[in-house]
Amino acid sequence: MSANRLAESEANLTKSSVPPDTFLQPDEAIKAAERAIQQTGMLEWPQCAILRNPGISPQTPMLTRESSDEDGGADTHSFIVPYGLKGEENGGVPITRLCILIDAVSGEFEEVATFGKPVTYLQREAAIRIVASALRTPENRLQVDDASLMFQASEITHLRVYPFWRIMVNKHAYYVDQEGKLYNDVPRGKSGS
Amino acid sequence: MPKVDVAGNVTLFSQKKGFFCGEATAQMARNGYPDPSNRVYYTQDDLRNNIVAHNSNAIGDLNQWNTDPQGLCDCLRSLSTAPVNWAAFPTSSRGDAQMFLEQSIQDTQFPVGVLIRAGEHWVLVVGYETAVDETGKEQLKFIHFYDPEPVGRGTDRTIAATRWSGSKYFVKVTTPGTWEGKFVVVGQPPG
Repeated sequence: MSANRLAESEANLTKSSVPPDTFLQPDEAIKAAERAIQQTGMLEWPQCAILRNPGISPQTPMLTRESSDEDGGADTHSFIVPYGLKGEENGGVPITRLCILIDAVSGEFEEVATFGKPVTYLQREAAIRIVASALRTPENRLQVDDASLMFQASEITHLRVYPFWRIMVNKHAYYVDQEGKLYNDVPRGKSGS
Repeated sequence: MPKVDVAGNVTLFSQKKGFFCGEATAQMARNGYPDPSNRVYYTQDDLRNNIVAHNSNAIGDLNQWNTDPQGLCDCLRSLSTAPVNWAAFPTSSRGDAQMFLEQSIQDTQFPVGVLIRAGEHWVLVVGYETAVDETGKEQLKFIHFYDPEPVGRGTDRTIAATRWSGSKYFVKVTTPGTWEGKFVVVGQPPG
């Protein structure tokens, strides 16, 4: 499956509670990110200097759902538009140096983030493999009902550009963070963490 | 448009453990003083002990926090001498908290520790940008901060003001106890 088709497939998996024509398409998310780069003056910001590198290019956008559990409001959706240098990969997965977060409905700029060390995002298949391995089930026999990226401020992460995978298997949710660690739930953790 | 940013003074450090955001924030703050000769690097393990020794002992706060505002503020105070004067600024007014944050950075050139996500997480704000709107009023446009997550990596984040002031970032603490219902900023009082 190509990167774009994979992104569309992932996007479709998270559209359940929102009208299907509501979200931007991945290519529209990239255009929104490019617009944000121009409109914010980001190119001049020292923290975004990598954007001035001629080798920088957008990677496949990732649709992420932010759970409403913590505040009782509606779920919100964002596209993480990752950027990296052409040819930089880790095990066949592109290395990401900067992310622009875009509202998945309006295309509005939300945030730009650069990691202290570049990241390789955990791919959907890898997350499913981790669950299969933990359940001692061959990957091809694991009945995955849904696999989507989500964010909820918790012990797992406080960073929207560092979401975790929610893998639904036989109506049971498993969560896999970007480091490949598996969780049975989303623990809130203590304050000031 | 007015832009204040002290990121050049401050090195981004990631948290060493999943619950060490307060320690990493203290580490960045103490190593990020405007006077380079006054910057000191402490390990997060050292800072952990210091914070534990200063966290609130009030019954309502016990076991609620890894790093509470008093723990972070008094840790930094214990590692500094006058005229450096770390102060916790808890207030129920978003406007007052935001004003303290901006004026503190602008007047003192020190970064500011801020509790985000209703008290769950500490970050270190290093800059902001404002613009004058059509009514002539100065409005926040962006907030620039260092987030000690992910563990071992850390993140340099710049957020649109609409998001920062929205329902999930710079919001009142919901943790029961001393700081419940307050926005919390730890910084140098503006001059």
